[in-house]
Amino acid sequence: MPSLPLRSAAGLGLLAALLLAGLALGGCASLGTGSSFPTWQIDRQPDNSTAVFQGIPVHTGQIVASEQGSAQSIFLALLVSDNSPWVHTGIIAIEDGVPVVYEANGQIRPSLTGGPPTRNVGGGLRRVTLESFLGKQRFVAIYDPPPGADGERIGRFARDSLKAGLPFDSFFDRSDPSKVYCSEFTALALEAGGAAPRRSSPVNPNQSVAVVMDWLGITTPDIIPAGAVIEGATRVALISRRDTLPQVEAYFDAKAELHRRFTPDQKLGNVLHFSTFSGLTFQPEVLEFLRAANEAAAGWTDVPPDEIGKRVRALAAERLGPFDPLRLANAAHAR
Amino acid sequence: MRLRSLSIAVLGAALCTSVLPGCIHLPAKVAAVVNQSDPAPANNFRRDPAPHQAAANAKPAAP
Repeated sequence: MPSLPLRSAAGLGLLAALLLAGLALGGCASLGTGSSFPTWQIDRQPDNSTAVFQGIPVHTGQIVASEQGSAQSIFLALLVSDNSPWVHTGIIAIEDGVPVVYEANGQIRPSLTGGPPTRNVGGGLRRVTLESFLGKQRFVAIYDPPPGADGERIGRFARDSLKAGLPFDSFFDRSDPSKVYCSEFTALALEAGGAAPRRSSPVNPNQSVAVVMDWLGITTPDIIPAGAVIEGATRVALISRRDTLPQVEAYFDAKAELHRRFTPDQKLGNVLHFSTFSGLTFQPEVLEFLRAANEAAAGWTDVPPDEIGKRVRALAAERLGPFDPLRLANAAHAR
Repeated sequence: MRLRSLSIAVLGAALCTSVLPGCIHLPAKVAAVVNQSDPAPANNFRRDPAPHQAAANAKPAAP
């Protein structure tokens, strides 16, 4: 996803850029070695069927999933009913021995006409090197495609889509495959490779989400979330260029907690804020919670994932206040 | 000449602002849900200061 003067958003990231023309994708980054990243976890060792990228077994047809950890990412997560750790997906292919990523990427075009940003989005399928991709994302995972899916056919679909100039779908209408958003493209590629169709998730029934979607002109009842794309797939590697493994776990737990608290009555403005020059940002309390979780997790070496989840939830209660949806529901019923 | 320079400057400024987040004007209805937050305890992301304040007020005065 997306620097001035033209900001872009990959996949669902578009919506972020929407409101905010946000998500600076930064300039090109060059990786050192994988060992220079705090998290460079390889879950499966290479074999004869794979190429190797800095220790990671890679082959055509793999799925790459990513998350920025930004206010835009949380905004996108809150638009969909199901929480997902990831916000963006793409397809890996090995070309001339180099791993590349095919991804659907939206770009906000300059406009003097006003109106919702969905009307001024260009972009479409593009190809970047995996190295470049890793340098721009905060969290990345690589997955083997689901069992039975043919990697070469997945890769062929991706190449053909790029050749066809498949445009980006800023309205997330998956009933029209002539335009695609990121997870829709990835899902179609997997399906072309023989994988079962990916499930969709309803748009969040939250009242403020409905107001924003209505303004943006997005009428789709559901979206294929990044989390659905990787269902049934086996993780090959987990990577973060700035966070340790416990910090990665803590971030995903914190994101899940924010999503859990975003009940239908909550305003997007309770979590986020949009300002003229900084775009979409976190509300101070939410930012402090995320920072506290990240700082605490730096010392959680050897803490099991379940325990990290409990600690993050305890931090949320401390920083954001207690939250018990059952108690709240009962209180509302009593009224 | 000056008019031409001015025109270029105005056009440049318009182009610049068109790519800033601020160029996106949220309708009032949208701004009301994106740029306004609820007070605690209706806000699930804001700690209610009342219990803490009550506890602080309940502290006996130091001897």
